[in-house]
Amino acid sequence: MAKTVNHVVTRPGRKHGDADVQIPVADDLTTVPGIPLRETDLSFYSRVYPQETQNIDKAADRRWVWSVYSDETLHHRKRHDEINEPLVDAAAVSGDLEPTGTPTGENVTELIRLKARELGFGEVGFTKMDRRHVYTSKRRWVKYDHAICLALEQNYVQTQSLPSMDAEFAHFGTYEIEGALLLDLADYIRSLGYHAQVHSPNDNSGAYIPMFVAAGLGQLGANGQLLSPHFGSRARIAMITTDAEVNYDEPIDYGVHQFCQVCQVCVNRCPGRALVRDKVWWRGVEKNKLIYERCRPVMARYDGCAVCMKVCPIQRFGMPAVMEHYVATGEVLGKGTHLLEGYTFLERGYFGPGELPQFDRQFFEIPHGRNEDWLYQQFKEKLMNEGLPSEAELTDFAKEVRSILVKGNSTIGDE
Amino acid sequence: MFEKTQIEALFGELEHEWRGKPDFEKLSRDAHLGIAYWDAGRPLTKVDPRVVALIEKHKPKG
Repeated sequence: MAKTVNHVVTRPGRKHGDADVQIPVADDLTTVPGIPLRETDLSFYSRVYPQETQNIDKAADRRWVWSVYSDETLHHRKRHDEINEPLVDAAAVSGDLEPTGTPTGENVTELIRLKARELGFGEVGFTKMDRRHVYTSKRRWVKYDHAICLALEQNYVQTQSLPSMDAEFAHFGTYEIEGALLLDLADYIRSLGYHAQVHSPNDNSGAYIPMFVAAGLGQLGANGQLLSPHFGSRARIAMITTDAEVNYDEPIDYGVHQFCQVCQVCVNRCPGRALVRDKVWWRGVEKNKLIYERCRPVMARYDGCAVCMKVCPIQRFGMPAVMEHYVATGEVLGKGTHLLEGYTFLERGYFGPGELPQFDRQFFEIPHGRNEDWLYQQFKEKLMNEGLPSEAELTDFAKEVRSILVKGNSTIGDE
Repeated sequence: MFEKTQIEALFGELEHEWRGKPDFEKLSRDAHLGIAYWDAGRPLTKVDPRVVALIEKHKPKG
Protein backbone atom coordinates (compact mmCIF):
# COMPACT_ATOMS: atom_id res chain seq x y z
CA MET A 1 0.00 0.00 0.00
CA ALA A 2 1.34 3.42 -0.99
CA LYS A 3 2.50 5.71 1.79
CA THR A 4 2.19 9.42 2.38
CA VAL A 5 5.44 11.36 2.06
CA ASN A 6 6.31 13.36 5.16
CA HIS A 7 9.36 15.15 3.78
CA VAL A 8 11.95 14.89 1.03
CA VAL A 9 15.67 14.97 1.79
CA THR A 10 17.97 16.40 -0.89
CA ARG A 11 21.58 15.27 -0.80
CA PRO A 12 24.60 15.68 -3.08
CA GLY A 13 25.19 12.91 -5.66
CA ARG A 14 27.37 9.92 -4.90
CA LYS A 15 30.45 11.33 -6.60
CA HIS A 16 31.72 14.88 -6.95
CA GLY A 17 29.91 16.41 -9.92
CA ASP A 18 26.92 14.02 -9.82
CA ALA A 19 23.45 15.55 -9.67
CA ASP A 20 21.70 15.89 -6.30
CA VAL A 21 19.39 13.06 -5.24
CA GLN A 22 15.95 13.21 -3.62
CA ILE A 23 14.99 10.82 -0.83
CA PRO A 24 11.27 10.72 0.04
CA VAL A 25 10.62 9.82 3.67
CA ALA A 26 7.25 8.21 4.40
CA ASP A 27 5.04 9.53 7.17
CA ASP A 28 5.18 6.28 9.14
CA LEU A 29 8.99 6.22 9.04
CA THR A 30 9.42 9.73 10.35
CA THR A 31 10.89 9.99 13.87
CA VAL A 32 13.57 12.54 14.75
CA PRO A 33 16.56 14.06 12.94
CA GLY A 34 19.60 11.93 13.77
CA ILE A 35 18.75 9.56 16.61
CA PRO A 36 16.58 9.66 19.75
CA LEU A 37 18.95 10.89 22.42
CA ARG A 38 18.91 11.57 26.16
CA GLU A 39 21.65 14.14 26.59
CA THR A 40 21.85 13.79 30.38
CA ASP A 41 22.23 10.00 30.15
CA LEU A 42 24.90 10.27 27.46
CA SER A 43 26.85 12.75 29.58
CA PHE A 44 26.47 10.60 32.70
CA TYR A 45 27.71 7.39 31.06
CA SER A 46 30.53 9.23 29.35
CA ARG A 47 31.71 10.64 32.70
CA VAL A 48 31.14 7.65 34.99
CA TYR A 49 31.50 4.72 32.56
CA PRO A 50 33.69 6.11 29.77
CA GLN A 51 34.20 4.01 26.69
CA GLU A 52 37.49 2.44 25.76
CA THR A 53 38.59 1.19 22.35
CA GLN A 54 37.94 -2.47 21.64
CA ASN A 55 41.62 -2.72 20.77
CA ILE A 56 42.26 -2.42 24.51
CA ASP A 57 39.05 -3.57 26.20
CA LYS A 58 38.69 -6.62 23.96
CA ALA A 59 42.34 -7.23 23.27
CA ALA A 60 42.11 -10.90 24.24
CA ASP A 61 39.77 -11.85 21.42
CA ARG A 62 41.51 -9.52 19.01
CA ARG A 63 44.69 -11.50 19.68
CA TRP A 64 42.79 -14.78 19.44
CA VAL A 65 41.46 -14.08 15.94
CA TRP A 66 44.96 -14.44 14.53
CA SER A 67 44.92 -18.07 15.69
CA VAL A 68 41.81 -18.95 13.66
CA TYR A 69 42.49 -17.00 10.48
CA SER A 70 42.95 -19.00 7.30
CA ASP A 71 46.43 -18.89 5.75
CA GLU A 72 45.15 -16.53 3.06
CA THR A 73 43.60 -14.16 5.61
CA LEU A 74 46.73 -14.27 7.76
CA HIS A 75 48.95 -13.40 4.81
CA HIS A 76 46.63 -10.60 3.70
CA ARG A 77 46.30 -9.12 7.18
CA LYS A 78 50.07 -9.04 7.68
CA ARG A 79 50.53 -7.32 4.35
CA HIS A 80 47.80 -4.81 5.17
CA ASP A 81 49.40 -4.00 8.51
CA GLU A 82 52.74 -3.32 6.82
CA ILE A 83 51.10 -0.87 4.40
CA ASN A 84 48.91 0.69 7.05
CA GLU A 85 51.41 1.22 9.85
CA PRO A 86 53.10 4.36 8.44
CA LEU A 87 49.67 5.88 7.69
CA VAL A 88 48.50 5.31 11.27
CA ASP A 89 51.80 6.64 12.65
CA ALA A 90 51.51 9.80 10.54
CA ALA A 91 47.92 10.34 11.69
CA ALA A 92 48.98 9.97 15.35
CA VAL A 93 51.28 13.02 15.17
CA SER A 94 49.28 15.01 12.59
CA GLY A 95 47.68 17.28 15.18
CA ASP A 96 51.08 18.63 16.23
CA LEU A 97 51.99 19.93 12.77
CA GLU A 98 51.86 23.68 12.32
CA PRO A 99 49.78 25.33 9.57
CA THR A 100 51.69 26.09 6.38
CA GLY A 101 49.44 28.93 5.18
CA THR A 102 47.93 32.08 6.63
CA PRO A 103 44.20 32.27 7.40
CA THR A 104 42.30 34.87 5.36
CA GLY A 105 39.57 35.11 7.96
CA GLU A 106 36.92 33.67 5.65
CA ASN A 107 34.85 30.66 6.66
CA VAL A 108 36.47 27.62 5.02
CA THR A 109 33.66 25.06 5.37
CA GLU A 110 32.86 24.83 1.68
CA LEU A 111 36.51 24.92 0.60
CA ILE A 112 37.21 21.88 2.78
CA ARG A 113 34.03 20.11 1.67
CA LEU A 114 34.90 20.66 -1.98
CA LYS A 115 38.46 19.45 -1.54
CA ALA A 116 37.26 16.33 0.30
CA ARG A 117 34.76 15.56 -2.46
CA GLU A 118 37.45 16.08 -5.11
CA LEU A 119 39.69 13.65 -3.25
CA GLY A 120 36.92 11.06 -3.47
CA PHE A 121 35.12 11.11 -0.13
CA GLY A 122 31.48 10.26 -0.78
CA GLU A 123 30.11 11.85 2.37
CA VAL A 124 31.50 14.95 4.06
CA GLY A 125 29.97 16.70 7.08
CA PHE A 126 30.88 19.10 9.86
CA THR A 127 29.92 18.96 13.52
CA LYS A 128 31.21 19.59 17.01
CA MET A 129 33.89 17.16 18.20
CA ASP A 130 31.75 15.62 20.92
CA ARG A 131 34.27 14.53 23.53
CA ARG A 132 31.69 12.35 25.24
CA HIS A 133 32.38 9.78 22.53
CA VAL A 134 36.17 9.84 22.89
CA TYR A 135 37.88 6.74 24.29
CA THR A 136 39.60 7.03 27.66
CA SER A 137 43.02 6.31 26.20
CA LYS A 138 42.58 9.10 23.64
CA ARG A 139 41.14 11.88 25.76
CA ARG A 140 44.42 13.75 26.08
CA TRP A 141 45.26 13.15 22.43
CA VAL A 142 42.25 14.89 20.85
CA LYS A 143 43.19 18.51 20.16
CA TYR A 144 40.60 20.49 18.22
CA ASP A 145 36.91 21.28 18.62
CA HIS A 146 35.48 20.91 15.12
CA ALA A 147 35.02 17.50 13.51
CA ILE A 148 35.03 16.85 9.77
CA CYS A 149 33.31 13.52 9.18
CA LEU A 150 34.50 11.66 6.07
CA ALA A 151 33.23 8.45 4.48
CA LEU A 152 35.00 6.65 1.66
CA GLU A 153 32.95 4.15 -0.31
CA GLN A 154 34.39 0.68 -0.79
CA ASN A 155 34.07 -1.20 -4.08
CA TYR A 156 30.45 -2.11 -4.85
CA VAL A 157 30.99 -5.33 -6.78
CA GLN A 158 33.52 -6.81 -4.35
CA THR A 159 31.29 -5.96 -1.39
CA GLN A 160 28.37 -7.93 -2.81
CA SER A 161 30.51 -11.08 -2.71
CA LEU A 162 30.49 -11.03 1.10
CA PRO A 163 31.61 -13.06 2.95
CA SER A 164 34.73 -13.61 0.86
CA MET A 165 38.38 -12.74 0.61
CA ASP A 166 37.55 -10.54 -2.37
CA ALA A 167 35.31 -8.46 -0.10
CA GLU A 168 38.07 -8.39 2.51
CA PHE A 169 40.47 -7.02 -0.12
CA ALA A 170 37.95 -4.22 -0.72
CA HIS A 171 37.48 -3.64 3.02
CA PHE A 172 41.17 -3.34 3.93
CA GLY A 173 42.12 -1.77 0.60
CA THR A 174 39.69 1.07 1.26
CA TYR A 175 41.35 1.72 4.62
CA GLU A 176 44.74 1.93 2.91
CA ILE A 177 43.48 4.47 0.37
CA GLU A 178 41.56 6.41 3.00
CA GLY A 179 44.56 6.65 5.33
CA ALA A 180 46.53 8.43 2.60
CA LEU A 181 43.63 10.67 1.52
CA LEU A 182 43.10 11.86 5.09
CA LEU A 183 46.72 12.98 5.31
CA ASP A 184 46.30 14.86 1.99
CA LEU A 185 43.18 16.62 3.23
CA ALA A 186 44.88 17.53 6.51
CA ASP A 187 47.75 19.05 4.49
CA TYR A 188 45.21 21.10 2.56
CA ILE A 189 43.63 22.41 5.79
CA ARG A 190 47.08 23.39 7.06
CA SER A 191 47.67 25.25 3.78
CA LEU A 192 44.55 27.30 4.61
CA GLY A 193 46.22 28.34 7.84
CA TYR A 194 44.72 25.93 10.37
CA HIS A 195 45.63 22.86 12.40
CA ALA A 196 44.29 19.46 11.37
CA GLN A 197 44.37 16.21 13.34
CA VAL A 198 43.67 12.96 11.51
CA HIS A 199 41.55 10.45 13.44
CA SER A 200 42.57 7.26 11.70
CA PRO A 201 40.02 4.59 10.84
CA ASN A 202 42.51 2.08 12.21
CA ASP A 203 43.40 3.84 15.45
CA ASN A 204 40.00 5.23 16.35
CA SER A 205 39.88 8.03 18.88
CA GLY A 206 36.31 7.24 19.83
CA ALA A 207 32.94 6.20 18.50
CA TYR A 208 32.73 8.07 15.18
CA ILE A 209 29.17 7.17 14.10
CA PRO A 210 27.39 9.52 16.54
CA MET A 211 29.22 12.46 15.01
CA PHE A 212 28.40 11.32 11.47
CA VAL A 213 24.74 11.19 12.50
CA ALA A 214 25.01 14.67 14.06
CA ALA A 215 26.53 15.93 10.80
CA GLY A 216 23.56 14.62 8.83
CA LEU A 217 25.49 11.97 6.89
CA GLY A 218 23.16 9.11 7.74
CA GLN A 219 21.45 7.34 10.61
CA LEU A 220 22.36 4.33 12.74
CA GLY A 221 21.09 1.06 11.27
CA ALA A 222 19.86 -2.05 13.11
CA ASN A 223 23.16 -3.67 12.10
CA GLY A 224 25.05 -1.15 14.23
CA GLN A 225 26.46 0.58 11.16
CA LEU A 226 26.05 4.06 9.75
CA LEU A 227 23.54 3.92 6.88
CA SER A 228 24.35 6.79 4.55
CA PRO A 229 22.30 7.76 1.48
CA HIS A 230 24.39 6.35 -1.37
CA PHE A 231 26.21 3.38 0.05
CA GLY A 232 24.57 2.50 3.35
CA SER A 233 27.31 0.91 5.40
CA ARG A 234 29.55 0.15 2.40
CA ALA A 235 32.02 2.79 3.49
CA ARG A 236 34.96 3.28 5.79
CA ILE A 237 34.63 6.24 8.11
CA ALA A 238 37.19 8.54 9.67
CA MET A 239 37.46 12.11 10.94
CA ILE A 240 39.71 15.13 10.94
CA THR A 241 39.45 17.65 13.75
CA THR A 242 40.49 21.24 13.20
CA ASP A 243 40.57 24.72 14.67
CA ALA A 244 39.47 26.21 11.33
CA GLU A 245 36.34 28.33 11.32
CA VAL A 246 33.59 26.08 9.97
CA ASN A 247 29.80 25.83 10.04
CA TYR A 248 28.14 22.76 11.49
CA ASP A 249 25.70 20.66 9.49
CA GLU A 250 22.44 19.48 11.05
CA PRO A 251 21.24 15.93 11.74
CA ILE A 252 18.64 14.62 9.27
CA ASP A 253 15.74 12.19 9.55
CA TYR A 254 16.14 9.87 6.56
CA GLY A 255 13.51 7.53 8.02
CA VAL A 256 16.18 4.90 8.79
CA HIS A 257 15.53 4.74 12.54
CA GLN A 258 12.05 3.36 11.92
CA PHE A 259 12.75 1.71 8.54
CA CYS A 260 15.09 -0.77 10.20
CA GLN A 261 12.26 -1.87 12.51
CA VAL A 262 10.12 -2.60 9.45
CA CYS A 263 12.93 -4.20 7.45
CA GLN A 264 14.79 -6.44 9.93
CA VAL A 265 16.57 -8.31 7.13
CA CYS A 266 20.00 -8.01 8.79
CA VAL A 267 18.53 -9.16 12.11
CA ASN A 268 16.91 -12.20 10.51
CA ARG A 269 19.90 -13.14 8.37
CA CYS A 270 22.73 -12.71 10.91
CA PRO A 271 24.53 -16.09 11.02
CA GLY A 272 25.58 -15.62 14.67
CA ARG A 273 22.20 -14.27 15.83
CA ALA A 274 24.14 -11.26 17.07
CA LEU A 275 21.64 -8.63 16.00
CA VAL A 276 18.64 -7.77 18.12
CA ARG A 277 15.16 -6.95 16.85
CA ASP A 278 14.04 -4.47 19.48
CA LYS A 279 15.71 -1.19 20.25
CA VAL A 280 17.00 -0.47 23.76
CA TRP A 281 18.28 2.67 25.45
CA TRP A 282 22.05 2.26 25.59
CA ARG A 283 24.29 4.97 26.99
CA GLY A 284 21.65 7.61 26.28
CA VAL A 285 20.79 6.51 22.74
CA GLU A 286 17.87 4.42 21.46
CA LYS A 287 19.36 1.75 19.24
CA ASN A 288 19.49 -1.91 18.25
CA LYS A 289 22.43 -3.04 20.36
CA LEU A 290 24.36 -5.89 18.80
CA ILE A 291 25.78 -8.72 20.90
CA TYR A 292 29.53 -8.61 20.35
CA GLU A 293 30.16 -12.11 21.71
CA ARG A 294 27.84 -13.62 19.08
CA CYS A 295 29.39 -11.60 16.26
CA ARG A 296 33.12 -11.91 16.81
CA PRO A 297 33.51 -15.71 16.56
CA VAL A 298 31.71 -15.69 13.20
CA MET A 299 33.59 -12.69 11.84
CA ALA A 300 36.92 -14.22 12.71
CA ARG A 301 36.29 -17.61 11.11
CA TYR A 302 34.29 -16.61 8.03
CA ASP A 303 36.26 -14.02 6.07
CA GLY A 304 35.02 -11.10 8.13
CA CYS A 305 31.38 -12.24 7.70
CA ALA A 306 29.62 -8.85 7.27
CA VAL A 307 26.42 -10.57 6.12
CA CYS A 308 24.66 -7.67 7.87
CA MET A 309 26.27 -5.32 5.37
CA LYS A 310 25.57 -7.56 2.38
CA VAL A 311 21.85 -7.99 3.07
CA CYS A 312 21.05 -4.37 3.96
CA PRO A 313 18.82 -3.04 1.18
CA ILE A 314 20.16 0.48 1.67
CA GLN A 315 23.68 -0.79 1.11
CA ARG A 316 22.62 -2.87 -1.89
CA PHE A 317 20.24 -0.56 -3.73
CA GLY A 318 20.92 2.89 -2.20
CA MET A 319 18.63 4.92 0.02
CA PRO A 320 16.79 6.85 -2.74
CA ALA A 321 15.58 3.63 -4.45
CA VAL A 322 14.70 1.90 -1.18
CA MET A 323 12.74 4.82 0.23
CA GLU A 324 10.99 5.51 -3.10
CA HIS A 325 9.96 1.83 -3.23
CA TYR A 326 8.66 1.97 0.34
CA VAL A 327 6.59 5.07 -0.43
CA ALA A 328 5.20 3.48 -3.60
CA THR A 329 4.41 0.02 -2.17
CA GLY A 330 4.80 -0.01 1.62
CA GLU A 331 7.30 -2.85 1.12
CA VAL A 332 11.02 -3.28 1.73
CA LEU A 333 12.82 -3.62 -1.60
CA GLY A 334 14.39 -7.07 -1.91
CA LYS A 335 13.09 -8.46 1.39
CA GLY A 336 12.47 -12.20 1.25
CA THR A 337 14.36 -12.68 -2.02
CA HIS A 338 17.40 -14.79 -2.83
CA LEU A 339 18.98 -11.72 -4.39
CA LEU A 340 19.09 -9.75 -1.15
CA GLU A 341 18.98 -12.39 1.55
CA GLY A 342 20.93 -15.32 0.10
CA TYR A 343 24.57 -15.88 1.03
CA THR A 344 27.21 -18.56 0.72
CA PHE A 345 29.13 -19.34 3.88
CA LEU A 346 32.42 -20.95 2.89
CA GLU A 347 32.33 -24.76 3.33
CA ARG A 348 28.84 -24.64 4.82
CA GLY A 349 27.30 -23.78 1.48
CA TYR A 350 24.37 -21.62 0.45
CA PHE A 351 21.68 -20.23 2.77
CA GLY A 352 18.58 -18.80 1.14
CA PRO A 353 15.85 -16.72 2.75
CA GLY A 354 14.75 -18.30 6.05
CA GLU A 355 17.83 -20.55 6.28
CA LEU A 356 20.67 -19.98 8.74
CA PRO A 357 23.88 -21.86 9.55
CA GLN A 358 23.95 -23.61 12.93
CA PHE A 359 26.80 -23.36 15.42
CA ASP A 360 27.24 -25.25 18.68
CA ARG A 361 27.89 -23.50 21.97
CA GLN A 362 31.61 -24.21 21.89
CA PHE A 363 31.89 -22.18 18.70
CA PHE A 364 31.13 -19.03 20.68
CA GLU A 365 33.62 -19.70 23.48
CA ILE A 366 36.41 -17.24 22.82
CA PRO A 367 38.77 -15.25 25.04
CA HIS A 368 37.18 -12.22 26.68
CA GLY A 369 38.33 -8.85 27.97
CA ARG A 370 41.80 -7.43 28.08
CA ASN A 371 44.86 -9.65 27.62
CA GLU A 372 45.68 -9.59 31.34
CA ASP A 373 42.04 -10.34 32.26
CA TRP A 374 42.04 -13.40 30.05
CA LEU A 375 45.35 -14.62 31.41
CA TYR A 376 43.98 -14.34 34.96
CA GLN A 377 40.79 -16.15 33.95
CA GLN A 378 42.84 -19.04 32.57
CA PHE A 379 44.95 -19.08 35.72
CA LYS A 380 41.83 -19.31 37.92
CA GLU A 381 40.45 -22.19 35.88
CA LYS A 382 43.75 -24.05 36.11
CA LEU A 383 43.80 -23.45 39.85
CA MET A 384 40.31 -24.89 40.29
CA ASN A 385 40.82 -27.85 37.96
CA GLU A 386 44.41 -28.82 38.68
CA GLY A 387 45.13 -27.51 42.19
CA LEU A 388 47.99 -25.30 43.30
CA PRO A 389 50.47 -24.42 40.57
CA SER A 390 54.13 -25.23 40.85
CA GLU A 391 56.75 -22.57 41.55
CA ALA A 392 57.74 -22.64 37.88
CA GLU A 393 54.14 -22.20 36.72
CA LEU A 394 53.67 -19.25 39.08
CA THR A 395 56.81 -17.65 37.75
CA ASP A 396 55.64 -18.17 34.15
CA PHE A 397 52.29 -16.57 34.98
CA ALA A 398 53.99 -13.57 36.59
CA LYS A 399 56.30 -13.21 33.58
CA GLU A 400 53.35 -13.22 31.18
CA VAL A 401 51.44 -10.61 33.19
CA ARG A 402 54.54 -8.44 33.37
CA SER A 403 55.12 -8.80 29.65
CA ILE A 404 51.58 -7.58 28.92
CA LEU A 405 51.83 -4.67 31.35
CA VAL A 406 55.27 -3.56 30.15
CA LYS A 407 54.29 -3.80 26.50
CA GLY A 408 51.19 -1.77 27.24
CA ASN A 409 47.94 -1.76 25.37
CA SER A 410 47.90 -0.72 21.74
CA THR A 411 44.98 1.32 20.48
CA ILE A 412 45.68 0.30 16.92
CA GLY A 413 43.40 -2.20 15.26
CA ASP A 414 41.63 -3.03 12.03
CA GLU A 415 38.32 -1.22 12.46
CA MET B 1 11.26 -14.76 -7.76
CA PHE B 2 14.78 -15.10 -9.11
CA GLU B 3 16.40 -18.26 -7.73
CA LYS B 4 20.09 -18.61 -6.89
CA THR B 5 20.92 -20.35 -10.18
CA GLN B 6 19.22 -17.68 -12.27
CA ILE B 7 20.95 -14.89 -10.33
CA GLU B 8 24.31 -16.59 -10.81
CA ALA B 9 23.69 -17.10 -14.51
CA LEU B 10 22.76 -13.45 -14.99
CA PHE B 11 25.76 -12.11 -13.09
CA GLY B 12 28.00 -14.67 -14.78
CA GLU B 13 27.00 -13.34 -18.18
CA LEU B 14 27.31 -9.74 -17.01
CA GLU B 15 30.83 -10.41 -15.76
CA HIS B 16 31.82 -12.25 -18.90
CA GLU B 17 30.62 -9.41 -21.12
CA TRP B 18 31.51 -6.36 -19.08
CA ARG B 19 34.20 -7.02 -16.45
CA GLY B 20 37.17 -4.74 -17.07
CA LYS B 21 35.07 -2.25 -19.06
CA PRO B 22 34.15 1.20 -17.71
CA ASP B 23 30.43 0.46 -17.34
CA PHE B 24 30.87 -2.74 -15.35
CA GLU B 25 30.20 -1.28 -11.92
CA LYS B 26 27.20 0.75 -13.06
CA LEU B 27 25.70 -2.29 -14.78
CA SER B 28 26.30 -4.40 -11.67
CA ARG B 29 24.46 -1.88 -9.52
CA ASP B 30 21.64 -1.77 -12.04
CA ALA B 31 21.48 -5.56 -12.20
CA HIS B 32 20.92 -5.78 -8.44
CA LEU B 33 18.31 -3.03 -8.59
CA GLY B 34 16.65 -4.49 -11.68
CA ILE B 35 16.29 -7.99 -10.23
CA ALA B 36 14.87 -6.51 -7.02
CA TYR B 37 12.34 -4.49 -9.01
CA TRP B 38 11.45 -7.54 -11.10
CA ASP B 39 10.97 -9.64 -7.96
CA ALA B 40 8.72 -6.89 -6.55
CA GLY B 41 6.67 -6.60 -9.76
CA ARG B 42 7.83 -3.03 -10.38
CA PRO B 43 8.59 -1.58 -13.83
CA LEU B 44 12.24 -1.56 -14.95
CA THR B 45 12.09 1.92 -16.42
CA LYS B 46 15.01 3.23 -14.32
CA VAL B 47 17.26 0.29 -15.20
CA ASP B 48 19.86 0.29 -17.98
CA PRO B 49 18.43 -1.37 -21.14
CA ARG B 50 21.42 -3.73 -21.33
CA VAL B 51 20.53 -5.00 -17.86
CA VAL B 52 16.85 -5.22 -18.77
CA ALA B 53 17.85 -7.51 -21.66
CA LEU B 54 19.78 -9.74 -19.27
CA ILE B 55 16.84 -9.86 -16.88
CA GLU B 56 14.52 -10.85 -19.72
CA LYS B 57 16.91 -13.61 -20.71
CA HIS B 58 17.44 -15.08 -17.25
CA LYS B 59 14.15 -14.37 -15.51
CA PRO B 60 12.16 -17.25 -14.03
CA LYS B 61 9.99 -19.03 -16.58
CA GLY B 62 6.26 -19.31 -16.33
